[in-house]
Amino acid sequence: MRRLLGWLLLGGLALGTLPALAAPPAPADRAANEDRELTRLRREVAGQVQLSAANLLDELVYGWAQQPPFETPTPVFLAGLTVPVGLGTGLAGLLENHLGALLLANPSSRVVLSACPVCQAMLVHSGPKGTVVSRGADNPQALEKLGAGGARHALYIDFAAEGAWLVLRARITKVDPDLPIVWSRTLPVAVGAPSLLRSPQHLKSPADARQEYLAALQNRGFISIPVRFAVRAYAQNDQDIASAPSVWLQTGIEAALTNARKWKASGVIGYAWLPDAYYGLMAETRFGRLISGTGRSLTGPDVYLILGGALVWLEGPAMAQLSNFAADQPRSVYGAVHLGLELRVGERVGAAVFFENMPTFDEDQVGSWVNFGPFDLSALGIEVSLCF
Amino acid sequence: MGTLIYILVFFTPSIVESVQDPARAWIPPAPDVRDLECEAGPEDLARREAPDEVEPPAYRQDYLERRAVICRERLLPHAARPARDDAVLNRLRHHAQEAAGRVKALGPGERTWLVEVNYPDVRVAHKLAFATKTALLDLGLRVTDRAPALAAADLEVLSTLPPEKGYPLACERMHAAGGLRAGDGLVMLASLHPRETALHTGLCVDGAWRWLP
Repeated sequence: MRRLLGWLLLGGLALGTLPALAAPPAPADRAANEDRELTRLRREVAGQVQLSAANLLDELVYGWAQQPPFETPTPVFLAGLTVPVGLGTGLAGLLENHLGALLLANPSSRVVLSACPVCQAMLVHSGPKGTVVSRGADNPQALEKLGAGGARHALYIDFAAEGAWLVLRARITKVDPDLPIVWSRTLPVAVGAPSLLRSPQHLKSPADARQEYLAALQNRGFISIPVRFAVRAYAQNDQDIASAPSVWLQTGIEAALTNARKWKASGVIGYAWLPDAYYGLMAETRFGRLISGTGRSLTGPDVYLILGGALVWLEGPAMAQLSNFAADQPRSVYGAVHLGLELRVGERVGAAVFFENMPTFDEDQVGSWVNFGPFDLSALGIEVSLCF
Repeated sequence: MGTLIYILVFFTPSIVESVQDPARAWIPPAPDVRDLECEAGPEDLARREAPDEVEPPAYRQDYLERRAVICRERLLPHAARPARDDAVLNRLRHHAQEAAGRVKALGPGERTWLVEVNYPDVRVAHKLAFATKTALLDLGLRVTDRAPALAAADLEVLSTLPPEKGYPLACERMHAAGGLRAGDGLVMLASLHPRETALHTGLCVDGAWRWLP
């Protein structure tokens, strides 16, 4: 025993030492790896930031539509749009396009996006006091000499990443010799906050959008009435004979157990009838756990993992294979446990697929589609549901 | 033994919760936890922030005192930009509001303010200037986008001087060369040491330079 322990200790030491003996990566490789990793990281962040930044632009233009910065429609050129340090200029291009689309869709903002190439070009202007190299927008005297003077306004937009916040700062400067800033605004948004103002034609304030969201959360109700159409197909037994599939119409009550609808439960009763084949009744209860997110989506589909149990009574000539009660005609009464996945779209439509374990039957009567050790999944169910 | 059972039964849940609480930092932070910014607050705050996650209070008192810790993930992880720039940019609003507040505290005036920033990275300097201008405007001060240009020869001389001499001289030259007009004031945010993340605010008014405390 002591020798065994000794060998184990030696083995452990050897395994622990091996990684240390491995040659470290060359500095050039390490730098290249770090660069690659940083590029990947920045690309990932830019993808996440884009929606929040677009949301802030929505809010900026919504603010202009509510309280225009000018009394009459005024041409404004975009003098600069900068993104958080560490992110690429591709993001700036996307945001410029979004801003253009928003201003075109919201003429009530009275901010008319215009082009001023000479304002954005680098100019060299020589005067009695010296030579000044600057952008046109920063040197109104030079613009005047080029014949591009007059009442113009420059819009500057800057996005900054401050901890968990993305902050938009915007200012409008009148391009005259004094370059006064005539309007400015700061808009912050927490990272991960849901995007609220996405439709450019129907912008709304964050307060209104949040109120709508809360109303949607509260008004969708905790109780709904599902109507399900389900088919259960039974596996072949060991003589390759399968019972006829049973077709069910079910209804009952479904309840959301939490605000976010991570958990739900339902209880339904069902009726099956196929002329000259069978008829039946069932009672079924089921629990569902949301696995596609932290809360039920208001706009997209959701996936639930479902686990439930059913008590089934079926009678008729087509049920001979499942018969387990002596009666005038084949009769089957059994309990079953099912496990599956359900796809739900909003509060209205759902589809599910599940496997059912029927422990009261042996292999002479029904086989299994899938076998999990002692559990034979003997029935495959597919259902479509409507909720009211 | 009885005491041990009492402790286990009554305190284990809260101990487990405390260990998982990133605000307490009982466990050394993993890299992804370091990218969280957490603040503690009342349960009501959490309910307002995440109404779909936090249940409304029970009608009957359940005799549990609850506390909310709201954690938000930093927009840019620590490694995404140089450490000093990251420290300055994460407190951009603070720097801008602090400088603007100091200028405002000088009293009401009809002065027009220009803003300049002296920081090694030009992109960070641009953001600092932008934020400071916005903060000054938010406080009702007049701000312009003009820049107090200096001649190349002035810049060459100024770049050789230490800060305590360079900034006052620059202020004089801006005033003399007409970069700063009568009625103008310059707000300067400056980083004086390559390792510091604090920013110093200076003022150039009527050709006289002073640091704001």
